[in-house]
Amino acid sequence: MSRTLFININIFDGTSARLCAGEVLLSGNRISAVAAPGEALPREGVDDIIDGRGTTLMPGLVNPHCHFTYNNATSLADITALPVEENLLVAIRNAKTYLDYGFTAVIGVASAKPRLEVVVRNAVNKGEFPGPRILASTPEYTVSGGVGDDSRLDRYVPSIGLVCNGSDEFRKSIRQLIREGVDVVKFNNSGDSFTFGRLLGDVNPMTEDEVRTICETTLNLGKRLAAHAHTDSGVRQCLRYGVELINHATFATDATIEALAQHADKHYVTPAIAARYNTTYEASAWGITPAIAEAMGNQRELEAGCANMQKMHKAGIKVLPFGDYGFAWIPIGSDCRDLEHMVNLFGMQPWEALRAATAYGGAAWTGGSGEKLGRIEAGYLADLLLIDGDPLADITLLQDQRRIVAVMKDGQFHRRFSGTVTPAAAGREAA
Amino acid sequence: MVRLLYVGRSCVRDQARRSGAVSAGEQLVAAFTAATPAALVVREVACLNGCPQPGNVALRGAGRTTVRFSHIDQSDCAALVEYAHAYWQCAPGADDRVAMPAELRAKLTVCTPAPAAGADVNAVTASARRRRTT
Repeated sequence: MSRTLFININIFDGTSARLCAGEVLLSGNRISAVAAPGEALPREGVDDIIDGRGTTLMPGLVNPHCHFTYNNATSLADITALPVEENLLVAIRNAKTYLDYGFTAVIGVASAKPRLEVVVRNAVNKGEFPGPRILASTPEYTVSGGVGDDSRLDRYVPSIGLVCNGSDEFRKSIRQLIREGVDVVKFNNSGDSFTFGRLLGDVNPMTEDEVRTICETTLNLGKRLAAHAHTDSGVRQCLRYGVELINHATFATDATIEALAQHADKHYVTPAIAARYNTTYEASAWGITPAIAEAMGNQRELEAGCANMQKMHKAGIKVLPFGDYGFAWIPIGSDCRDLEHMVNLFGMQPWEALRAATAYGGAAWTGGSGEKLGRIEAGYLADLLLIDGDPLADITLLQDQRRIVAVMKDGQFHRRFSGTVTPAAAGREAA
Repeated sequence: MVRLLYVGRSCVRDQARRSGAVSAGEQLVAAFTAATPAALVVREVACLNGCPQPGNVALRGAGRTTVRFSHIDQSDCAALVEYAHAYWQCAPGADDRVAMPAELRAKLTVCTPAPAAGADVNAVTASARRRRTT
């Protein structure tokens, strides 16, 4: 088992408000020891010593609301229209982009085609292509008229969602997709402003029976659940039926937030606020002016989402960054802007945003498996980044790929540290 | 507080490139890095969401107006760096009053006020329901 030692580094361990000088030893694909400031770990038997030159060692980022099969198009229909062959190439390229930007694990929540995420996950796991750890998702399950149903009565139009109506249809389709190898079943129990007024975000189009069937079928087969749940009733269903990954939670009421806070260890909220902020304010070049965004209901989702995430964060609910990147004005590769949004829009401290992106994200990825991911602590998987600078002092650093000077997944370097840092980083004293 | 100037590196995002070729965005990053004094930091980011109008540079920060300029090229560096200095010298909330040269104003494609404190979600929802039913 190879042993790698990081020295001359400042450590963000995933949970602390301050960096701490120290050393970290890896044995194979796991962290085996972390030295406190002033202590040194033994050099004997170490195969590889990495001198960090004052850089920051932190856990790899985890995207818990990832659409890595999306092609940065302007609409769901444009993603659907991409033939599966081209879509596979897009997904492979995106998987590498995520790893390039420091994402060592992602949770898929809505594959663009039924088997795409499964196929890419398997190829990455075999080492055929670079990419993060992937939990592969179904396409989003929806009902007729729901988000992701683009079909028409007058002509054939394919949909990105798997459209089912009634418990029997959901049960059969979910069993088929689990047979094909998905890890996560995603369903839409809310509308969204992206339907351009057809089904707004505060409407839940699914019946209680349908949601119960989706959740029971998935959990019976040992798989995990994610729900597009803007609505208060949708978030309540997530609580009732054990949906771990609650996407959005925009219109959850105070009473629901209180109920969610009582089960904060079982659920993760991923607001995907960039889909609201960027659409409202930065999509004019694609024809969505702020006035149009307001008419769509997007700005209302932004305001309500920001208010709710502030409340949830204060209530101790795990609010995680990233999500919904993969559209034209929220392209894949720019995901770390979310960390800025969490500070500026939700009132988080930079270290809290990074804790959500690493320690909480890692716990969300591993679920109840008992695996350890997302912290720098003995026993945790060695998914690590070296950052040229202090991300607690400047949360925007992670948006700059040049400053992510090393990326390691499962104890193996995707990008090895060249030893080159900015003068400011080199001047910092570590240990 | 870090005084940042964001420059998008992926312009032109969908343009085919030979291996090793430098994109227009990367050229812009290099130009700004060379033109920017130490007091400002060039933050090279993947994208600033202005793809139909490539050549994007932005200023933003907690409690500040976000401004983005498009169709920026190397000839704009000096004016933009000067504007960025004035932007960062203003107190948060007053940055929208910084005088903007006409040549930059013509390239302004995003101007977003600093986010207000969050509204109450129950009030927002009730208000939206009223709007829909009237």
